[in-house]
Amino acid sequence: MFVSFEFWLFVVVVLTLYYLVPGKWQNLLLLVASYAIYFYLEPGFVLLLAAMTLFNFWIARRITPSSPQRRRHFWAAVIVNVGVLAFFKYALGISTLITPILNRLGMANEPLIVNLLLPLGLSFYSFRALSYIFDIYSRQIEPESNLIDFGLYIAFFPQIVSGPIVRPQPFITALKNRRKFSQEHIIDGLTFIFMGFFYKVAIADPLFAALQPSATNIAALSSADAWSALILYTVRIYADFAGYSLLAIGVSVWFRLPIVENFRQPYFSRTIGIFWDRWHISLSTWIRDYTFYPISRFLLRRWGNNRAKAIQVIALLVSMTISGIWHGTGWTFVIWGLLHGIYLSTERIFFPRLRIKPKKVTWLFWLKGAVSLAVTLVAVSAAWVFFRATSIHDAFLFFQRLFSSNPFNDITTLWWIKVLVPIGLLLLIDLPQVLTDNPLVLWRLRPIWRIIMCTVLLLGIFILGSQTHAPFIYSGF
Amino acid sequence: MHRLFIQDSESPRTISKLLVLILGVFIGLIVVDRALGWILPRLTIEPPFILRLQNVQGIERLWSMNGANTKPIVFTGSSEMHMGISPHVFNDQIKTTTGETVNSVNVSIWGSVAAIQHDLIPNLIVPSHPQVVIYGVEMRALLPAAQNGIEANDFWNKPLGYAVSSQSSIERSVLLWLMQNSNLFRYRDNLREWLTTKREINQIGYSPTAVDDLGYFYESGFLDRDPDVITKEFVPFTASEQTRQLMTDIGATCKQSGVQCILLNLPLHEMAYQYIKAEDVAVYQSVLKQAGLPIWNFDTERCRTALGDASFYNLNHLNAAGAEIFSKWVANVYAQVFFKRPVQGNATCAELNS
Repeated sequence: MFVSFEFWLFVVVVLTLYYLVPGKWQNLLLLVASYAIYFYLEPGFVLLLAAMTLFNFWIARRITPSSPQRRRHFWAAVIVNVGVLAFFKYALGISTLITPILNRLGMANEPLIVNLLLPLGLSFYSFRALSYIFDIYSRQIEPESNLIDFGLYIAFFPQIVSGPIVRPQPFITALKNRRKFSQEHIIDGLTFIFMGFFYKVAIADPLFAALQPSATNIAALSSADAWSALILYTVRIYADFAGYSLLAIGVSVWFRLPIVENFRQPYFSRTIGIFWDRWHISLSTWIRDYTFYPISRFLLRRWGNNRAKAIQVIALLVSMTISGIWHGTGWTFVIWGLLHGIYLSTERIFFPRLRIKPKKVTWLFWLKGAVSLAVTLVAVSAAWVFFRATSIHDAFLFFQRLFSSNPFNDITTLWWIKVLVPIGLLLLIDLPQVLTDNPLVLWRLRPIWRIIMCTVLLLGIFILGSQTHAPFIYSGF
Repeated sequence: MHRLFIQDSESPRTISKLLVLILGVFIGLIVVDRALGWILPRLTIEPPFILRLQNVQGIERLWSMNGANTKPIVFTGSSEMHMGISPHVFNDQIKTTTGETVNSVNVSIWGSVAAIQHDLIPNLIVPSHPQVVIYGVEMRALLPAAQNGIEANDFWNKPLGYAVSSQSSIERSVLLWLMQNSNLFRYRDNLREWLTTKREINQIGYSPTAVDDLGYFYESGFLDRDPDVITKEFVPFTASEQTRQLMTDIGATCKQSGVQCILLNLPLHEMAYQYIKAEDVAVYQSVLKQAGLPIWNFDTERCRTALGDASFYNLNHLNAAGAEIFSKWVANVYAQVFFKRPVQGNATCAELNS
């Protein structure tokens, strides 16, 4: 959606109207625009979106502290939200597992479910709805009385397809006031959109074609090709999703609605823990707040402080596995999540001080930091192999290809260009962001460097962009 | 070091600062564009990839002639024309025959079917104010199935093809202007292919020096006389409403713009006629007549015999020796039509229909 001319024309029209209409109409206008876009993208499931919105709006009012049967309604809300998500997301996977068994028992001759489609954005908007339910149940927020505002929280169009998963409190609060036009917000939004396009068009899209052979014919990969595929997929998945997130953030900023930063240069992390503070932040904080903390609290109540480490490990393993399953069916996602759970547990148990920055920064700290950064990057990249593979067999075959021969025998100048150009482009934008710790880094640069940077980014988009765009990886989740 | 690049605090974002930034970027792009014009010719022998394959040279010469207010004789068509007409030989022959100086250029494009010429003639050639357009035709380029084939789509996906096929005249004019004046636009596909490692620098699958400065493709060799090219790509020849309409439109474009256009029926190797039947030729000629333009038919039995086997690269392309002879024949016929000089020698093999 973010790469079509029609979409941007639509945004400009809606934005103009948005700042022209009286405040009380702004939310309705955005809601209509959001449903119009959703209907355009996914006409078959617009009723599901509406039904989920109405259901959550209705049931949330029955889980307030004063409501009778509060607990029962809460669990009903959780079961329905998770159930709908699980049905569309996992029914096909589960049916392919059990159909052969039923066939053998003579109970079914046809596959149980054929061609079940995942409704666009369901994983994201159902998590937004769950956030709302959890926050009301834990008495952090009151149920929303305005259906338009709540509907907009669920369906706000820049975030519906792939997030970020915004929390209800700041978003709905912002909807209560009239949003006035501000040139600074328009320029900020434009800056995010510009950077998002660079990530998507100049870095991620050209890698789509380059990575195709390594996805379809793993057995034929040379060791050098497997290494380049590993590196380039690591770059691509970040550039693709961070690019999408920046586009969504940019459009949200134009409408002056709150949105969370979704990526903060995750590949510059010294530990896996820091990586998860910087990668898909809206999901990782969601998992932290709604699975890790509740599981930890529950186990602490049962086992007490004596088993704090075991509790942490269990909570981490379960949370990260849920994070893996959220991405899709298949054991590869489970293993990916579990692997990160193991990484995090290992870090917590054996290297608890690794993420603490000393008061006095010495050369030893930088050396340790460089080593930790490299180790983290290798661990994250290795986990992407499972994330990307269509089966566990393919993942192990890929690892086998990595070490099938000495890769340096096959490394050519072209190989170096293939690998270093995307990395260089990524560093071009991530390095200044790391140094300034500022997502709007362009406006922290000195004017001449800002001009040079923008010229280079524009050249990257112009030269490397093409008329056909690879699909956003996360729109499939 | 840090302070060299980074300010102490974030700049306030105002429209005026944004405008200054946009202006700065615009100047930056011009600087890069000019720098590329100096660097790239020193870095590579590749022509700018505004076309899928050979003959950017011809297109660029047409533009430079237009810039110098020269009214050229433009040869256009597919690979047969690209390899069959040498503008240098043509110009020299006209000079020898008539004493007049003419400027001709060959802008033929490989795989150029009628649908491509339908875009190219009105949107690229006619706006360059040519004296005469000589469109080399062949059966293969007029077959209905070829009009939307891989090669045609490939052309439309390249910058020049995209520009000339644009329905918006503003977009077309802007893109064509940029392709003539901006190194970034001209070399964008080269840079893209290097940076995405689609290929190495200068590894373009043919020698760019095979095309001369006036757009003629020089090929001195021979290929096997494989009849497959005729039986698979030429016959059985059929016509469709679409191909007839394409020729009608091309003819109408020439007439409306006041530019003299001529269809040049290119010669085939005599062996090709073991597979091409009289009914194929009849249908083909009926399609050509649809344009309502003069036809210079060099695919006669006399021409094929006079050219002989040694003039052909394969059954449908002339080689350098053949192109030398054929370019002179065409010049002689041109001299007869436009300078009223009698045709002599083997050039009389052509049949002229007005």
